[in-house]
Amino acid sequence: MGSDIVLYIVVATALAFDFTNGFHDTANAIATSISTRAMSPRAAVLMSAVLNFVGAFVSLAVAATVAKGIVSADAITPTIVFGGLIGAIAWNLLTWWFGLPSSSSHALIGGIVGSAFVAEGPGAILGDGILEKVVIPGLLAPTLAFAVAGLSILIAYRVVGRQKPGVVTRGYRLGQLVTGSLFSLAHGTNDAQKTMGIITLALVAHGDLSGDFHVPTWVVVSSATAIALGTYFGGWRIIRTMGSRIIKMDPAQGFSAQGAGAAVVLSASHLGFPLSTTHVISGGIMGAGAAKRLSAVRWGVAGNIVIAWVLTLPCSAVIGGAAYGLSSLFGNDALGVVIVLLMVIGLIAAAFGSRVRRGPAITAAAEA
Amino acid sequence: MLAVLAVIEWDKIGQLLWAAPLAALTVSVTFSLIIMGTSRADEARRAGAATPALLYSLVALLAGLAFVAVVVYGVAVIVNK
Repeated sequence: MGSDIVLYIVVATALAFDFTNGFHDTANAIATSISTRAMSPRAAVLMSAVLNFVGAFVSLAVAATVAKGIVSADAITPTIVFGGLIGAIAWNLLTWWFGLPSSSSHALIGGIVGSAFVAEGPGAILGDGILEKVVIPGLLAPTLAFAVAGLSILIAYRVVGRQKPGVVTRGYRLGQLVTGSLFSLAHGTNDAQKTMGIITLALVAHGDLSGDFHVPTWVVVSSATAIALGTYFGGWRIIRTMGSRIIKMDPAQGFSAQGAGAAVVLSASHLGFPLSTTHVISGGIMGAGAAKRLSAVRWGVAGNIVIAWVLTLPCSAVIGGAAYGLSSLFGNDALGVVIVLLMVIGLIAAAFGSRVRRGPAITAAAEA
Repeated sequence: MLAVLAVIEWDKIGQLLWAAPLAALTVSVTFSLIIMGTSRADEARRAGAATPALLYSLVALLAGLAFVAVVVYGVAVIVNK
């Protein structure tokens, strides 16, 4: 009975993480389109939500690789997964609160690493996997996107430099519909599957599924729905940071950042070297701004974003470890997990209640 | 230190370092050529210059086909992951 309750809570927490993943990462695909007025905010989030939903059904390859090579497979229990999810959700909400784009995948990895560390000790952590899946991609993604987007915008300006500004603006806005759609579809295929993988792992650990990795249909549908709903709600604080606080972008820059970002993400995916869409598009936006004029980039904002990236793994690990540690204080039954869950819900309700009392939050209407 | 370096998949990084810029520049160049081609073709048509209008339309058409091919390839990469 106790293990059933833990399983239900893990599934619900995984779907909650999926929702935060959706609204945290909405900005990756559509911030530049909204900023350059290629799309209205509502149309942009709707398009992105639909494509994230569709993308979740396209392939299940990524679902099988979640947490693989990061922590020892034998160490994983539903309670460790729960701690990891709490760490990831907390970091996603915290960075969203400050309007900072950060990788949800790295937050999830960090949460699980922290949780497994507290549960099983340092022996359960595979350092090589962290280097390979977090550190190297974390350095490579923004740097490569920065350089490629910079080069792209210089070429774009060279080719269309003598044309009428109205034609150029309309043209690149149209192009952003395509690149934004590609980004959303790619995001759906990657990120909804993290949740599918987590839920499936919990089902296997609970004994509901056999060892061969098969994702049940209800898991696919619920994960796709959660990420699409999260995307539709839109993380407007992060959209504002990415769309207008890093650089003030024109449609050509928006197209170059998005086009270069999509090219980098898909090339890396094709080579079996997945990169964070957040890191790629942030680097692309900075590159498209810096290539025009170095001072066009607000380096203070960019610096804050980079600090958030560096802190993602350790902070989500600390929170994930604390969540596991606290729940294990109450023994191995479901009581600890229930208490931690209630505490987290209470904290979130208090934070949002305080925000609502201070006046309307940033919404699509306010942004438009 | 050497053990750490051995973990890194240098061959994939090497491929990524040329494949990603190539893909991105193809997207940028082809779409910019569509805009340039259609804009210039329109101007030439207004000026009554039929041959340049045809040539610029051809540039826009070829660039459009190349852009569509890149996008279709991108979708194929997503679907066949």
